[in-house]
Amino acid sequence: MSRKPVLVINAAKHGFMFEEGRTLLPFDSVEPYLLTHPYGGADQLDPQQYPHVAVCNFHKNEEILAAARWMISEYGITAIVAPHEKYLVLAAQLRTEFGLPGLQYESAVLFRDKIKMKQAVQAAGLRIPAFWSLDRVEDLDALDWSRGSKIIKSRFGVGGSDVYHVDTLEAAREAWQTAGPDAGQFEVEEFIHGTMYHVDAIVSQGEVVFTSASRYLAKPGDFTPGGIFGSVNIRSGDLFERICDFNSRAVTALGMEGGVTHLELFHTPEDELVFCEVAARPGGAGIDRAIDQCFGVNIVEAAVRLEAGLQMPIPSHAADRVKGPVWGFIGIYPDGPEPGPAIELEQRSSMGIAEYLPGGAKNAPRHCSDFTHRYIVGAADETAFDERYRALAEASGAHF
Amino acid sequence: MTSDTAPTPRLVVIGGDPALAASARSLGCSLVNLQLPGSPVEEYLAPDENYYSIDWHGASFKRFVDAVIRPLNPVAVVSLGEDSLTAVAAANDLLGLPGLQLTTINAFDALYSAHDSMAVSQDDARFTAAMFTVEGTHRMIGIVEHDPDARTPGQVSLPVSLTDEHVDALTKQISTLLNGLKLQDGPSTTEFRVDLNQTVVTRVRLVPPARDLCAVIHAETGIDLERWALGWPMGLGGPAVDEAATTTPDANEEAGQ
Repeated sequence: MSRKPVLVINAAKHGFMFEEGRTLLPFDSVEPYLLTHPYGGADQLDPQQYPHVAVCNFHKNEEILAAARWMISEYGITAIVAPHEKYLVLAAQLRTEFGLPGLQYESAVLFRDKIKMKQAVQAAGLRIPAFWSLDRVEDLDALDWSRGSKIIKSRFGVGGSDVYHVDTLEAAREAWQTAGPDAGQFEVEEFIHGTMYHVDAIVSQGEVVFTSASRYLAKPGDFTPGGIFGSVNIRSGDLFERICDFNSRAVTALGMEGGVTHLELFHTPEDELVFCEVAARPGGAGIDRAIDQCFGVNIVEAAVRLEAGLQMPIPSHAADRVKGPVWGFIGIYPDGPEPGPAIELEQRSSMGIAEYLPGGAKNAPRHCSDFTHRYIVGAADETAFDERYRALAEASGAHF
Repeated sequence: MTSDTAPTPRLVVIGGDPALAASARSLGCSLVNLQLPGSPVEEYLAPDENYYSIDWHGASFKRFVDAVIRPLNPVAVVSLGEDSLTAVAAANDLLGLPGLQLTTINAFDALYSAHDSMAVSQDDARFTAAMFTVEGTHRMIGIVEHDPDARTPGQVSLPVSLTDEHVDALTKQISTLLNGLKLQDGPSTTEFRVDLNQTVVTRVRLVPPARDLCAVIHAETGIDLERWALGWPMGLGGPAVDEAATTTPDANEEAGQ
């Protein structure tokens, strides 16, 4: 059987393409052509598996594009796998340019530009926060600062970085100054009170075929040194159904045909669901592992397979798992150059820890998933999980 | 504010092993490594460097150079492997870079096809002469005599059992040969034997000798031929023109004769 030549644009370490040594790309049906970077992009790469490799500077799109265009033309590439959010638009640009299937340029822009994203979601009849484009510092003067606090954030930011919560015009101007040279690509949003949720979905042929919804235990933008963060999944009830429906309408509105999405939304004290943002990639921070523990579904593998043009079968037992324990991730942020130790191995079982994922972060966190330690935790129900979250914070010396 | 720091020159290295890459890197260059598909990758990588799997024997190599290498603005394309010299010359020709040129490769091929007798077995060679050319001036760097009692292939010994007269005559002979090849710059390796006081050249290559021979020459002369071969197209790591000229005062008088 001839194999499909697939271009893999991997901005992560090479190990990202494997799960405990098992390749996420089936080599019996896919012939991979790897485009990566010199900082771990080829760590322990087996040239038998990946005989065609290009390594270049991933801070220079022109280098990536030159190599990608060459490989697509020369090797008859049929699909592009690009799991990292920062290269989503670049990969989509190449698909559109070469007539390849998958996420196209116009849709990819909707998944990256938080202003165009909200406009598309609003057009689908979903509630979004009021928002304003922030191109010049003078734009801040036109806003009504007596009507509650606001969020200033990058139009193209990832991982909760470049997010400022401000109450006054003066604070907003200060945030603009702090943002520095990137300030021209910011937006202002109405601050939404409420609990945040994330929804991780698998989309195939334009239909959401798998959904996992989780409640954040803190807001992603609130990461601080020595802090704690996490989420726990919810699996039933009216709120769950409403969140799933909201997610389906949003990702469909943005034109997702096949892939994995990670959407964030607010549930307000007035019982309203309000859109926050959505990405066309698996959730980070360990969310993928928590979902795998809960449902037996690997969303990273799903993203890779679907972008490669392969099917991603959802195991039949996934639906049954809703009756089992709840799962989530818990991350501990660094609090200095020598962060505290991980939870001792012998203590982990009693705390419901099924997996430990070293984060390696030091000093201060740079984004919401920049952890020193990560744990995948199970509990009988949400209440029991919240207890374990508090216990883990206490044992780690982390503050809420 | 602009930086006063000049960008690190980019050197394209076709083929070679990780040790060669390290040597090229030590010249102060950022490398663009080209390796055949299926070759190791990790061992060649250093921060801010590039690597591409490419079959440089293939018909599409020139398109690759034009599409991928040209935008990287390399200062030179080099190789120490015989199988990639044509690719080096083709890339230099396409990119307008100094170094090995297609005219030399074409002359070299013509010479070989005209002198089938040169393509004798390497086993016949008793001596290996390493020369280095700068702007058409050829310098004898060292002659290594292969030890007939060697237990391992390539084991060699110095000094050679040749007289000064032999060396002078040989230098002239090889220089004439290299002039015929239109070699303007770079390394060359000539293998020969001496039969009844007659020097018989058995093989000429436009690369430095094998690494173990280079090591012997380095130990004896202090000249790192691999480093010279890598650096000369950029003006790094090679001898000055006048230095080369003084070593072979007579050789070039015969050029073109």
